[in-house]
Amino acid sequence: MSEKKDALDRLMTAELSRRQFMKMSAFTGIAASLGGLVTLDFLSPSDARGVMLGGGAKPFTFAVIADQHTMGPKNNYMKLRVERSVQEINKLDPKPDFIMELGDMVHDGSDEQMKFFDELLSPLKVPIKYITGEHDWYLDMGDSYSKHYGKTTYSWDHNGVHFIALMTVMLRDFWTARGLSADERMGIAGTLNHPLPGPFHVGEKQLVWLRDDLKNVKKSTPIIIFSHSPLYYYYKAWNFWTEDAPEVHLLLEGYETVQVIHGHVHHIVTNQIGNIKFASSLSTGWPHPYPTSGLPAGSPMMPRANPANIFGGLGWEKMQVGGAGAVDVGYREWSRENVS
Amino acid sequence: MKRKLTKSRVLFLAVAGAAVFLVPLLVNAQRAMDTQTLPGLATEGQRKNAQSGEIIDRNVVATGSKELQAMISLGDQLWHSRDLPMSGNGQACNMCHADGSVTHPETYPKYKPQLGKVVTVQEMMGWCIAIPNQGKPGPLGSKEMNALEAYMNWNNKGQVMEIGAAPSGI
Repeated sequence: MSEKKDALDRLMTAELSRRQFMKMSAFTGIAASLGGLVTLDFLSPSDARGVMLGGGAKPFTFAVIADQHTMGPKNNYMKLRVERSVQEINKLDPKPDFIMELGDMVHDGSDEQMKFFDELLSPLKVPIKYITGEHDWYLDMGDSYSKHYGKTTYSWDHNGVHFIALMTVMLRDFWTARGLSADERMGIAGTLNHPLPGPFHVGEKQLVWLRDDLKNVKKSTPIIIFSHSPLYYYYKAWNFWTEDAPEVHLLLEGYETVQVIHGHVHHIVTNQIGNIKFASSLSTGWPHPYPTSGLPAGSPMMPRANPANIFGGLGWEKMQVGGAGAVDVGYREWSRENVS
Repeated sequence: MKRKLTKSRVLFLAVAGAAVFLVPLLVNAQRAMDTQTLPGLATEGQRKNAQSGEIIDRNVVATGSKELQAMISLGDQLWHSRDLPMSGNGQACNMCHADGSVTHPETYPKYKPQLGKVVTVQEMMGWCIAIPNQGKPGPLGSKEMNALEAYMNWNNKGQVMEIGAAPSGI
């Protein structure tokens, strides 16, 4: 495993050349496949591991909403669903400490759609934080997102947990050479099975930011990461995929309790790779079916959504953070009783 | 002995000769009319070829394949369309059913509670366009509906026909 140590050393040095990253990517491919094997060892039903390690967090709750895809007044179903999630979160007792929005608030990235969405969220009584999805970004490359929601890469500490928000929907430039308009770029980036854009990336700049951010975080501190796309390889044909996710995994090596919470897939899926747990968020836009392959071993599966129920297969989450920093993911799937 | 060419003998020969030539003509004409009034019916020759496992007509196959490909492509476009007639609220088929997933055309016709009767897959597609998409579905058998069905079935190639079956997970 000396190759692995070398790769980690390179990642930890201040100067990180593109070439080193390329080398490392070759290694992380192997790391990812090893991660897949290790996963099986951790698939025990009990959560004893998190409890034993003890991160010293003070228990608290927060709520997660995602993938509303609001299209303005022309889509009343989507409006009704956002309103329902807002009403239910406002009824939570005790109140959650904050709400995390995991992106794709709007479908076509426009300022008007964001205004419409903000209006729907205005009754919320709890502070809310945001990250971007591809649908919020690719009309104007983040201008409207920044105006409405501010940053999309940041971190903060809360009750002994280190929280990290990442922008995980970077796409290669598929539009300039083709002379595509902003609307065309948005349409293509926003079609999950479009062949042109290729997979999402975190990108070198953010990886360096993450490396620096983690310098001051103890290995025993629980970490919760928010991303729009799943930070692992799930199903490439629908871009349920972050190409450089293994490099993020490498930076997180050695941390005792790490939970990634992501949107984008519009259904319940969980995973574990090494020390990192992953959980998806439900959508209020529409339910995506499970792909024909790639579902992580041990993941729960939700029943197929009933298209005659406008709330079928949709919902939001209440997250319970325990004393050790382990996250109990409470799916509030509207067509079923509360599920964890 | 020499027979006399009586009037009755001439008449008999004329009638018999006409019958020999005309009856097959009339039968063939009737067959031709059968195939005209029932489009798609194979001729006797084609039926024989089909029974022996041979390709009926290579030109027909080539044309059919080209026509089908054009319909699949049209269906692909419509499947992704977010505008009328496919959608009145910006929702496209491709959102809930990327690549024609979870449409299960192999299970139709079947009973759909929201329509209250046994329906074909095209009737169900019409419901999806009208209700979740708030669009205006074309009539059954219209070019648009057939194109959508072609795209959907092309994406579901290899599924085993299982009329009425509920897909796994329900």
